[in-house]
Amino acid sequence: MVAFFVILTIIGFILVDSLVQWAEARQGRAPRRTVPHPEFAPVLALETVSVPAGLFLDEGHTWVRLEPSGRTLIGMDEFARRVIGRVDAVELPNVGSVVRRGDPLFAITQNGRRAVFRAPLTGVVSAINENLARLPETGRMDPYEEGWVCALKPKDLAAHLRHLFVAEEARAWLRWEIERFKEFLTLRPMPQSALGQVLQDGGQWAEGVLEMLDEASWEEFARTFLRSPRASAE
Amino acid sequence: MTRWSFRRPSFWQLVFAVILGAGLYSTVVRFTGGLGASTALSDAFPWGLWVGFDVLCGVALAAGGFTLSAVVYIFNIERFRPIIRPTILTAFLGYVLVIVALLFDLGRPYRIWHPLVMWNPHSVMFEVAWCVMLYTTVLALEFSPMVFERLRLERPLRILHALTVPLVILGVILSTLHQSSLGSLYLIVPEKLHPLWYSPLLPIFFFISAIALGCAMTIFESFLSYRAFRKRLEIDLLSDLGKVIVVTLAVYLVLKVQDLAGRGVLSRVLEPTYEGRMFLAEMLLGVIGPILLLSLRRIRTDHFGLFVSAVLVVLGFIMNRLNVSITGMEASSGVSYFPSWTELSVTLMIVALGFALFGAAAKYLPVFPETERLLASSLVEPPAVAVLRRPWIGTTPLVLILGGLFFIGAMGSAYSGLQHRERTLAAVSTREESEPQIAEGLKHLEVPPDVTFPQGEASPGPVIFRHASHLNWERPDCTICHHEPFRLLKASGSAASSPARDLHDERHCGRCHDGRTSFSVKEDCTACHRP
Repeated sequence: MVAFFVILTIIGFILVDSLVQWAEARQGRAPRRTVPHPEFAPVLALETVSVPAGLFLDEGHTWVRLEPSGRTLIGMDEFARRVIGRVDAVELPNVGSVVRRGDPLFAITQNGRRAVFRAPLTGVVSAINENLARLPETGRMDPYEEGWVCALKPKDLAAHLRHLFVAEEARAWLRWEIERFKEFLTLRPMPQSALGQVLQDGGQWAEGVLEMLDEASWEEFARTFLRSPRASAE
Repeated sequence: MTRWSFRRPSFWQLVFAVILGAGLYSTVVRFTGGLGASTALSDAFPWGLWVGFDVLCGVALAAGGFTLSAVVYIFNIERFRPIIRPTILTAFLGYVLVIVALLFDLGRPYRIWHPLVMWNPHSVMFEVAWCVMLYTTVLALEFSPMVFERLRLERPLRILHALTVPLVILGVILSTLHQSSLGSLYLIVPEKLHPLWYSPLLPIFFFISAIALGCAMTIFESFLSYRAFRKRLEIDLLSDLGKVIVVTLAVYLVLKVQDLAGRGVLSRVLEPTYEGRMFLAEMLLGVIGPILLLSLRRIRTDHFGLFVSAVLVVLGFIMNRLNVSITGMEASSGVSYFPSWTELSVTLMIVALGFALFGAAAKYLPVFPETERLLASSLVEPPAVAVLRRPWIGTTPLVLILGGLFFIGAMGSAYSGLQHRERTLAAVSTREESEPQIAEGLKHLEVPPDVTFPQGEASPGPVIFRHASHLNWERPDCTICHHEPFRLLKASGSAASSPARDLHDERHCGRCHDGRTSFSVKEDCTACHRP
């Protein structure tokens, strides 16, 4: 009797808690964020996009962090994060799956559109960030910490690292990518509503500029900036 | 415009406030009105929810502490180090709260220090008391580096660092002793505890299940910190703990079946009785279900799967302890026990305090160190098999189906057991009403052998003491003599020295042989001394 009652009480608490969590997630209020949501959407000064000096960047806009254990953490870089803006869902790889450099590793969706990120390294997926699956907006303000996507137990690490940018190289490459992105934007048709200041006025793009662009531009962005592998068409 | 920096309290903060309020009220009732006013306990049923849940389960919470510290410090499996601090913290809080619960449950809490001074090494309670006290001390020392680090006190940190290994060894020993001695506690009630749970192996069962629970609690509490602090989960470490749980529970299951079969009560498991059904529920929930779930690699490496399995283990374990302490005792007591709301609110308050303290400690102390990621060396290498094939059913639905199946099965079994409960208790109370069969019992009464006291100096001869002639055969009662006068005289039959002076005094033979109750020791010597 007592045992039965106690078990049901505990289950009751767990159920209520999952309801509370569900409600919080629905309100879009990620509980207890360390970084508060900004009151206004910040204007994206792309020049402020940064990368910690110790991270390796891949041309597909993913970052790699080496850990002393030999494991690597992978995520998308701040450039991709801020340009894409809102994320509806993150498709994570399976733990234990083997990926080769250049294979599709994870993908994000927004408005039913999908962008595939390629794997910067070869290895076995050893952990994934479940936070992202549940609250895809996790790490919007902090793509290099909270926004990590998966951990990889790498193979041929030394060989593959040579293809990645680090420190000064990474910063230089990122600046170059930003310039390239501005050019990319000038060629894109913009919806009328978005037209306020334009680049020629010295205007800056609001965060999540890709949300405003059409399908073709999205595809083009994935191809030229994320260098999404062919499999993205699957 | 002034901005108020008042944040709307979250749902759980409100719940916490309500629980705390009710608990504090009950505390006042308990300490002003006593146990009778505040609990549903009685002389026939003296141990209820506070012992069964607060103490037995609280102690077991700490099992993660000794399991993991043994793994890391003694077996030197270093990669588990990142999760050791939260586990130690849980263990420490578990023990502190057990002591709080004990203060509520002890009839005279101000005597809690008695076992320290008044030793009774023959009592299981004595062992339990010392284990609680010593292990809490060890846990406090194991926990203190977190405080010292925070306060930047270098010297005590260095001292403690040097002491770590001896402390851990001591902790593992004490905690092993304590987990099993809680089982031993129930060894002294063979005629009260239902045979499905009473077993000479109880201490071993308590110990083994505590190991499994320790691992499950570590998983569970990792998820709690993940939920509260969005801390990254060490999923590879946790899924290894899942493997340990499978092995431990399998050993437990085999031992349990062997034990039941050996005592010839295996068939009673499936009988449609209150106890049988509750036993079945406990095994389904805490042993068979988790073994099955965690054996599947897919579930073991999945967040949701691990969480559900850990919850099943914890629930099954709680059920086991409550079955031993309450369900199994109900029939023999003949009393229907259900905790009063004051008992419930105190228990809720203690659990809520545990959560709050853990939260506060995790917030203000370096429980999850910054360098944690760096220490997680040599991670497990997942088998290099591609899992690119999409399984026929997603892991989350699979976990829901399997876990739900076991949970509903167990709860259904427990519920059907409740249908038999009234009958069980009714049968006992009618039996209680009939007269005790003294004549039947007397047939089996065996009195101890005669005791010969050899002839002392100045004594007319040796004395042969016959138990048989010093007994009221109508209503035999050993305690008339054996509570005070002869308590030190072991019935060995050869008392080496017989100080006649002492034996004649009013604390021994002279007590009754005083000329009133029986003939006096001063009268005829040869009545006792046969030359």
